[in-house]
Amino acid sequence: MSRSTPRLWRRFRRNRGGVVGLLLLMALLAAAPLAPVLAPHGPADQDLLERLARPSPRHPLGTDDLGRDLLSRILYGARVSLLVGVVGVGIALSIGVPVGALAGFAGGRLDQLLMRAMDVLLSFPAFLLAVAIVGIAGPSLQNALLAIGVIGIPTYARLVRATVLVVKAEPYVEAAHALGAGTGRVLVRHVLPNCAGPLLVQATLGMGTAILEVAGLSFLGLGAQPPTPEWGAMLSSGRAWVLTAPWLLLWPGLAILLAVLGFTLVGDGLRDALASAQ
Amino acid sequence: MARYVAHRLLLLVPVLLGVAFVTFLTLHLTPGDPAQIMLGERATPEAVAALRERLGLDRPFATQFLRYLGRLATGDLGRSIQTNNEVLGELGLKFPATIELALFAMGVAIVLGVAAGALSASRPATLWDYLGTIGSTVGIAMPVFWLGLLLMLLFSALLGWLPFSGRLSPASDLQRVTHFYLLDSLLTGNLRAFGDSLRHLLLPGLTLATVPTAFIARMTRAALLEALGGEYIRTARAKGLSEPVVLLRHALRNALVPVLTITGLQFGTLLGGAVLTESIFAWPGLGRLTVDAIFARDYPLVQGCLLLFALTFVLLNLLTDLLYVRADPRIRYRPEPA
Amino acid sequence: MRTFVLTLATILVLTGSFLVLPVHLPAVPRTGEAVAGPAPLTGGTLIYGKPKDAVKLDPHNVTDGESFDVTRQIFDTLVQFREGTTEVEPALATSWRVSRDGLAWTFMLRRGVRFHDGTPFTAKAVVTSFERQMFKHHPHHRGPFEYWASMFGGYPGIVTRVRALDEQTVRFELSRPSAPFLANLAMPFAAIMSPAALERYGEDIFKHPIGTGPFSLVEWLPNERVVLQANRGHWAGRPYLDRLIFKPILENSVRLLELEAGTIHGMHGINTDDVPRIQRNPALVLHTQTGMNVGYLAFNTEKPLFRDRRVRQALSHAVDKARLVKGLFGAYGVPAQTPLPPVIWGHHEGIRPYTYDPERARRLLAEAGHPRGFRADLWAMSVARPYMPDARKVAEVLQAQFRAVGVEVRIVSYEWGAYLERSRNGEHDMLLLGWTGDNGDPDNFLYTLLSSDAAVRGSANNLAFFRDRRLDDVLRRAQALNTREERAPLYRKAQELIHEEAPWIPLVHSVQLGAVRRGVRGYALNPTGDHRFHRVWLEQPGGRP
Repeated sequence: MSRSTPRLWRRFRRNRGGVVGLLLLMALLAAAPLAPVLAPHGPADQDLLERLARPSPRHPLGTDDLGRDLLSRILYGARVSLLVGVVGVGIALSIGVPVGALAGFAGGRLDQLLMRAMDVLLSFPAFLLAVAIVGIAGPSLQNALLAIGVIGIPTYARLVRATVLVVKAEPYVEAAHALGAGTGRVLVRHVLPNCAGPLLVQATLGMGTAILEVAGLSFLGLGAQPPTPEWGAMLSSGRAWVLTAPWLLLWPGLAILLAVLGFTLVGDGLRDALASAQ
Repeated sequence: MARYVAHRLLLLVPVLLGVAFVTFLTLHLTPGDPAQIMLGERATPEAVAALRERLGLDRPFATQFLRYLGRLATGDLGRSIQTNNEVLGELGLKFPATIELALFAMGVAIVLGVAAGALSASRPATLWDYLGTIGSTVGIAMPVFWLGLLLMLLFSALLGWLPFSGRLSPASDLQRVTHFYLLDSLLTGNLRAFGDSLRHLLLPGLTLATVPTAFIARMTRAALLEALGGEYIRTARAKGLSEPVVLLRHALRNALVPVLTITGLQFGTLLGGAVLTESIFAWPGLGRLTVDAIFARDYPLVQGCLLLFALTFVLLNLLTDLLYVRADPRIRYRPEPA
Repeated sequence: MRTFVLTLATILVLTGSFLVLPVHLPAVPRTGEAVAGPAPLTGGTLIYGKPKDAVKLDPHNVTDGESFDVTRQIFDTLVQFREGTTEVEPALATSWRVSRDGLAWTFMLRRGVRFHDGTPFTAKAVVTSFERQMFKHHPHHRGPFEYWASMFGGYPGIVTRVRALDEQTVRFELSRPSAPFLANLAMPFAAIMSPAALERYGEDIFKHPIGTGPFSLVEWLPNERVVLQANRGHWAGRPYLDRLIFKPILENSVRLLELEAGTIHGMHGINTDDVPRIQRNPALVLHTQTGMNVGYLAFNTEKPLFRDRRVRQALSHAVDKARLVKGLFGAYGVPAQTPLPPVIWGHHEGIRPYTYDPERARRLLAEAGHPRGFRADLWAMSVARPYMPDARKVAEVLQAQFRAVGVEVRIVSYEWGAYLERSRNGEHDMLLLGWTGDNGDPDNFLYTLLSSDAAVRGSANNLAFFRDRRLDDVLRRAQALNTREERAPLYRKAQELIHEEAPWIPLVHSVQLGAVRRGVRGYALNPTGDHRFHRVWLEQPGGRP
């Protein structure tokens, strides 16, 4: 893997979409930590006498219905979205990878059981399952993240299990096993390097999906709660002002689109680069 | 084929049991006493006890689950807390709306997606191809709830071409038979209602179709390009067949299986997306019912919605699988799918 | 010449709007509106957009305006308010008298009236409609019947008996005199329902409302539409409209867009920021009415946190009410200092408001043992109300203002029906709600919303669950007196007590807004918040929406 990294980058670089995606991601990654520096106002600072102000030098993207600076909220929203992507995928990975590995190595009944459980999760339309989980657990950003994590599990579990099954059958792995190498060692030395590429691709795409889904949940009022500057929630409250302040609808939507596009393009770029590197 | 179908149906059993278990769990995972939650925290102890009794909450867990399965088997999904109606009846009223919307969107997605993909593939590296590729990439990343609002703003508010929300004009005189309004209007020969419900379908349908269209276009393009590089295509061309014929008759047929696969996968997106689309366009379907039920803490109704969504999804997937057994004779019934 | 210009302008407006609008409704010229107005035309269908569907169509078992807006058309009451006022006039009762001790009210009923199901309206129907609400053991007493309890103080409360003296005469017997009693009978919960329908539908009566009102129910598709048709045999003459359709549209902005596009004829639930847009549009007519209402925040005084008066007072000082009202309500709201709106007699002008003083708020919180503040839930309704078009936004403003004094609140919303039900159970810490007076009497605010009689869990209208002996005593004494002169001082006293104890933060008295398309006539906003359609007519009834 390490030797091929520069080659991977060279290949990735040739993918125009991937590079655009990377730029978008870099913008997101920069906006998140720098929000306090870049934002002209606090994300929750209300000025009720300056509601629904048009874009102006003081408020470059205008203000919302409570007189909060829209640019600042969008910038701080980058933090929320990044958090959503990382934590959402993190949860899915940290459960999905062990489940997949366990199923693959153990085989037999345990494998059957785990994979049927994954099938069950996959038999719900993903977003709907997320809606139901949040509905049961109560609307909040934490629960939304949890829900997004849960619905992501099967993808990773299946991916890892498939790799395990292939790797297990390799002669050198059988040999290593025969020589007394433990399952953990096989997992770390042979399985993970083999599925690192696909996992990376999947995780990158998954972050985009997570952002989209949490935005959707927040739009329905099931995700981030006020005053958290979350893009989906901003869009939802902006609906009330389509007539008087359409920019409240424009910017948060565009922010979601660009962030998700960034992850999607980079994920696709990575996949192509990995495919052609083999 | 019949054996394959039987086998697939058999495989559904454990999955459906699992689905029932998950919906059953939804009530038990809620923090606190389900009966208390359903009735509110200050409900009288007698009322709570009565509901516990009714739901069998005082029995052991396994017994409860078996009883739940037993009730499901008889079609008893309980009663809605809000309206006191049978959950099954409530679902039955809203389900056709969602199916109508989803099928319409899927139809749009297949037509637009395959057309766009074919266009791209037939003219690779041209402006059309770039536009198609960019379009499908953006489509995949598109927050549909945003797109829906923008479409409504443009077509309903600014241009005034299409209605804002709902399935029919409020004053419509459509006689409801099947609750699939397009069908009902044809059955009753009410052409005005047909046009009316079609106009209402357009915006939510297009919105919902966006993501599947993008995926299908993408897959069509990739599969066609691969097929066009194949040996038999060269033969076909050598035979002097015109390019459209090559594309449509030979390449497209070979690209069908991957396109079908991705289409099947899109049903999940479609049904999940229905939740958002329905809430934007006030489409009185299952998705909106689910969200309303959640905000009303009407758990029997939430359970019913979840169950029905899963069942629909599972059956649609089965249907796609069967379709591609038909489309590709190379896929054969295998006893144990890896 | 002037006529010519007018006509020309009208034609321009007309053609213009036809070019812009895809459909549907007759855009009607303004000519002839100035003086007496033309004679009403009969026929046509009116589509009215409302924020939310009815919860139930059983007027005895709901408390919210969204439900009453529909049941008002279907049911009549014994007496009613003259349109646009709170003066009582005959309805299903043609005359009445009260005994000298004020304990017996006798009503003579209108003859020849029939329910929509064809059964005759008799004294028995009156008895059933009230006994069902007042007696817990009544076979049809299924549901919360919260309105009854909040008006009459329990089951049966101060009404001890409702008796049919003969087919056409009914007598109400009271345990103590009640000045607002007659006006209470004009309120929508006092609707007269068909006993035959109750027998027939039992628990499902809320889906099958059968009254004597100007319209009868054709179809209710929840969250889609309610279709009503004219009751041609109504005792006060048939309504002008043939059909009346209610369409629930959740978003204020979308509802207005639909009105502009002509897919609905009228609506309420208007963002104040959208008012100029309506005024600029020649195809629309804005209606305003100084609301007999109050929007408030109630502390649940049963929760340990808010049992302490200092905490309630502290938060009262933490709210910058002037800024909140100016910002969110603009010209269509005034800051409230007492529960009673200024348009109602008995309103206390001299209440010294809690000043906006975060410093003092923090000091009071520290005194009460919360030097670092605390966390609590603030409930906010998710649908537009006449007294608060966007409560979630009000909640966000309060959240920011409370945070400034160290109090962190989480904003919680439920679906409208669940919101009311759960708040009546007292599950909230703090909640936003409001009230539109139903009868123009101070009792209908102060007793209904703050007496301990109305603080019964499950059917509470006193959502602060505020119980104060002194206040109860003052309010009951005021009920027993007959003249305004005698009662007003007592209500002023009550407002002082409420102000001092601060079970609420009264927030705003807002102007009711409604809008219709030009060509819709006879539409009026009522001080009671009712929307009535008996006398509404279309200038072009043939127009098909």
